[in-house]
Amino acid sequence: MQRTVYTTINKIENPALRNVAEGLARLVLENWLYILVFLLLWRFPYIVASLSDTEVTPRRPTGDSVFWQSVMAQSLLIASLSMSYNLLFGFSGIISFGHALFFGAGGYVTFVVMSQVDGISFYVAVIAAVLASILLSLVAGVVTLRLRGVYFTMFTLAFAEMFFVLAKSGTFRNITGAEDGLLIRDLIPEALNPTPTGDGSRLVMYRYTLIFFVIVFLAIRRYLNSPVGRVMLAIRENEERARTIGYNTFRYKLITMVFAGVIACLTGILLVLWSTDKRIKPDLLSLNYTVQPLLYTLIGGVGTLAGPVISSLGLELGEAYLRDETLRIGSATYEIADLWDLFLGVLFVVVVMVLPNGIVGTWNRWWAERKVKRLEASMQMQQKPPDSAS
Amino acid sequence: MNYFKQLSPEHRRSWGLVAAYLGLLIVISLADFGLNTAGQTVFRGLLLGMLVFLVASGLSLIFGLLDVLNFAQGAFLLVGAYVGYQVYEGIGLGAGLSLLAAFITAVVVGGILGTLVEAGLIRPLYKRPIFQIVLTFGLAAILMDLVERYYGPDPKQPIKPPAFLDEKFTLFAQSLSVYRLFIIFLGLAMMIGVFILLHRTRIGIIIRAGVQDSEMVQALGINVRLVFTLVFVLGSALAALGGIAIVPYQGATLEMGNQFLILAIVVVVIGGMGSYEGTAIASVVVGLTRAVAEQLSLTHFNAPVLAETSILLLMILVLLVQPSGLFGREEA
Repeated sequence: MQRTVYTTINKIENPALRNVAEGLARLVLENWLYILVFLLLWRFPYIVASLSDTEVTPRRPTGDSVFWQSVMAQSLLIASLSMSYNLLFGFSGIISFGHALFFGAGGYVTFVVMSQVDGISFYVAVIAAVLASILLSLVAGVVTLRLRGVYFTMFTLAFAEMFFVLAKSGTFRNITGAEDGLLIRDLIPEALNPTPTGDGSRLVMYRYTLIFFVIVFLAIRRYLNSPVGRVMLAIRENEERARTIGYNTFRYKLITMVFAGVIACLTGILLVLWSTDKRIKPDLLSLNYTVQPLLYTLIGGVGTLAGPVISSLGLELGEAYLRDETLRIGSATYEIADLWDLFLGVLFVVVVMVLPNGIVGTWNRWWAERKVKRLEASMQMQQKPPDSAS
Repeated sequence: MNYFKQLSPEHRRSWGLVAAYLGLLIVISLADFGLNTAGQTVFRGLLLGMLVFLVASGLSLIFGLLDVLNFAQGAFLLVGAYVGYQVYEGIGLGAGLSLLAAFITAVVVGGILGTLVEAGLIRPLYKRPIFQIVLTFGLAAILMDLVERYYGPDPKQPIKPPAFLDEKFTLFAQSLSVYRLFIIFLGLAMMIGVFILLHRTRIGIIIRAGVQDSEMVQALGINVRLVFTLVFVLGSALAALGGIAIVPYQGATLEMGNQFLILAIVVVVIGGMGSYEGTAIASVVVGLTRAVAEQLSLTHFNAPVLAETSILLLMILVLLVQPSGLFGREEA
């Protein structure tokens, strides 16, 4: 099929037109799976609506389609967070246990700035949050990136946990709201509020979220194929050697950390917009949001682009789907929702022990081996003349 | 005094630095709070230091010998605290015996948990060190989740220690429970006990040799893997002991695990990974710093939470000046 497309294109007389057609064809042929997935996600609310016989934008905000728009949007955001974590862990070999800091800082800085400064626009506050996350990753990076891996890991954990404690403390209650959090219902701009009111604002917000996810995906892919990203991969493989060649490995690691931090920050802001109680709570800065992307990255496949996305979407959607089910073992019944974290933990341990490359990594390896085997088999066929049976 | 003669000049300098720093802290608190409050603060700091030591010594020993950063130490502490609490509440043998039973159960459960984790999960991963770190981290999250599920999210009230530990004594014009003294003695006893284990027994020699070069020890025909497991179990049991020791004093909360893990991390970074005396001294340093900073920020800013930052600043400072810690090996 590929060959027919290219031969058809080669028949085009006009060279400029031919180039355009060739580029377009390559884009489609090499990314057809991604494009298909994107289209599916774009139509997702409608698919759910037709399956469950509910409306996409009903007058009263109930029904399966509305519910699943929210679930899918939040899963996409968790997937973005996992991708940014994988950028550090999988593609740069930086094990950070403080990723929740950048994630939580997004929501906190945006809305604390908005509640403290009268009349400031949401978008200006977002810029402030991005600047804050850049600053935080620079500080964390400059202090520790020169250190050995273990020290770095410990430092990031302690650094992030400190902000968690600060956010929770009653000392700053009038700024952060301490344990109760900060009510942000009135601070969210009208256009970005996914709370369903019958005007379809949730659907619009779902699309924004999907577009954000696509941008994050493409940006990370582009980054990995850029010169900086290539150096980063080299550093992951062998930092000593990369330094010997003459790269300032510290600088490259810092750039990657800032990049991942900014993605996490933006993801955090969007997730706060989707939250049902419309509150900024210290939970955003808790270890949860470091553990979650870590688990998803490892289960999906460290250092693969699709791995964290597949595991995030699969597990988050699975949890939402099974939330109200119960499990019967003998006479005892268990709520699936209660057992979910335990299941996730066991899955994580099993994957780490048995499939070190994660689901996608193992699949890729298996696929590559199959290809090699086939190639070998066909080469043997060619070498062996049919009459050499003796 | 033999110990001091054998010290390298760097370590002697570190001892000097620590002494000067502790002296400075005491002078500051004396000047700022007056004698009584200063005394109370130092006492509180010492208490915290001893508790942190129980978690940190395991972290440091395990890293020194196994090269595994065990993030599950905090979770072991949590398990120790809650299991001990449950035993104390359930057993009904009178305060003294119940507390003893709680301590023993906590330590045993911690030890068994440590054995299972080391033999079942850590050992197969020695060829993949990064995954060991990630695994202990994930494991900590799972364990804490299980504790929360089983015992509920509400904090547990402090249990009442038996009468002879609950008597009051007056120190710096403050009436305190003898139990606090008991914690300090427990910490000191463990500190000295492990020191003797490391320096006066055959197994201790093997452990110290293993910290320097575990392959060489193995080449001498010693089953290093067994020693690895032993040290891991020792570390987790000490953490669990710390957990149950806190319960009569502060009760048990779910945050305790992470709180002490962070403190232990700071201690280990300051003391130097894998250095036992470093961990012991740094525990005292961190405990005192935290207590003094808490008191300072309380009196001047009415914001005790700022003490959290003081610990971290200390850690950053040490990392910048001497990345391998005060008594660590030179390899960072």
